[in-house]
Amino acid sequence: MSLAAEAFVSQIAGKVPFIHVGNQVVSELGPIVQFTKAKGHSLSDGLDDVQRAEMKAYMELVNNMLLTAELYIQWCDDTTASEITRQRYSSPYSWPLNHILAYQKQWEVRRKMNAIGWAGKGLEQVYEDVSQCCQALSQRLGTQPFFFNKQPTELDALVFGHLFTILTTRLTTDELSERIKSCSNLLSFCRRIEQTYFEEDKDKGRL
Amino acid sequence: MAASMELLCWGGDWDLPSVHTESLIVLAYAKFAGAKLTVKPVDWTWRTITAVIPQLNYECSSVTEPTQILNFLRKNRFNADYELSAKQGADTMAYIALLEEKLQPALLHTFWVDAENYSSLTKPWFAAHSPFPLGFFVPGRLAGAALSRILLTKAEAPLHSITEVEGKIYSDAKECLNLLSHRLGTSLYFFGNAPTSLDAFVFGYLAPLHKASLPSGQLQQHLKQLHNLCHFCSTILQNYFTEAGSGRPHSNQDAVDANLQKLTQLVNKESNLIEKMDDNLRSSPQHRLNRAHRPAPKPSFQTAGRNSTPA
Repeated sequence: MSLAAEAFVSQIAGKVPFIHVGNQVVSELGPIVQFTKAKGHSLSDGLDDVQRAEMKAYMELVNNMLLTAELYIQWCDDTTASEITRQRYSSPYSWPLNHILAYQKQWEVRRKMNAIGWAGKGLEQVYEDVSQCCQALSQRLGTQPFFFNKQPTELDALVFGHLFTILTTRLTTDELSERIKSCSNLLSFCRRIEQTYFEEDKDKGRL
Repeated sequence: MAASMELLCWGGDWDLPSVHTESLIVLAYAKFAGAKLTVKPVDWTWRTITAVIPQLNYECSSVTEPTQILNFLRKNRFNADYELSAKQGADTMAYIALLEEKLQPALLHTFWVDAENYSSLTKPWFAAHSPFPLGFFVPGRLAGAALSRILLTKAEAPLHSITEVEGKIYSDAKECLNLLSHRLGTSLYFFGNAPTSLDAFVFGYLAPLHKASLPSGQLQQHLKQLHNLCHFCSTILQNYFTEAGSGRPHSNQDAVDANLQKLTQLVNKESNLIEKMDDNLRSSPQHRLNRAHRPAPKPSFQTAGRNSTPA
């Protein structure tokens, strides 16, 4: 799909990522996981109730901390927003839509930060929160290959997605990726998943 | 710690020390960690609209938000999480995130957005506990903040309205309650036999839902089916919030001792009366014909002697 068409469909579906199966469009991680589960593929069947509770809790921790921190740094930090984010967000559109959409998105994100109490936080405090979150994840991972047993679960996918994005996106400073790199087991976790699951796709020209 | 710490919070009702979730979290943690707080309810003061609640004032500084207040207490050596391992600390962070993301929107909806609950319980309570003109503004302001929080975090505002996300919010909250119940199992607290900050957070979120008399409470009914969570709330209330001002189970023992003392005194007095009557009966047949009035001085003489002993 071309970039413009993807952007169009994402506006309709509401959120990226989305999958397109037949005439159904399913967006966001939660519904996609449920959709694949309904088709008979599930990663967390082997977990007992307490482990499933822990998995859901850690997924919420990642959403609560990492996702919010990413949004904050992209949109509420003025230097990053003006130099990188707005331009990247508005690139598929022509003038004046690119300006309007970029500012609208920034306004929405700032309102959300206000509602959850992150507006008063400084950048340092946000980095500190990310560090704490990474340490918690690092503690949970320990020396195991994946977060639960020897099989990957939805939590592994979520953590990989966020950490990989943070590590590979170029921002104005490297502070955020440095904080993640300080947890060595998380770094090796990301590398291992990239090599195991995405190396063969590189030949097909994706990623 | 010479200077005392003062906590501003909403007052209590429905058998709870406070009806406000965040105030309850701080109160519970302070009890668990043994921190002595001077609790100042903001009810009927202008602080209902001017202050951010809960607020901890110590010397010249003030701290708001439960997480920040708990961090502050920990730095000042009131640490209920001292015994936890690093992994348990990580689990605490994760479960608190779960509560905030999955349970809190539904709780806000139940108390502040659901029309029946808001008009018959929440609004009258907060209006009655605010000083005269503010009673018209305070509930509305809190309700507006709750609604915007739900819409901004759960719905793609302004595309969706509240009705479209209601179903999802409640099913997420019920799932969260089930997960908490699985995690708690049959233990007394979430990590062993001593309560920690996670117990304080769970108590703060669940106790109002457990105790308030909500006219329309599908989430409350779901909670009542999870007996271990209800028992968890009752245990904490019983052990830490029995009498106002005392936080230990020993206070029950003191009350029992005081009652025992009173009972002993009563029994002593009764036995004195019985002895008096005995003396009357013994002395009266001898002096029945001759001295009808003389027995009077004798018992008083003897009772005067006897009354001095229990004193």
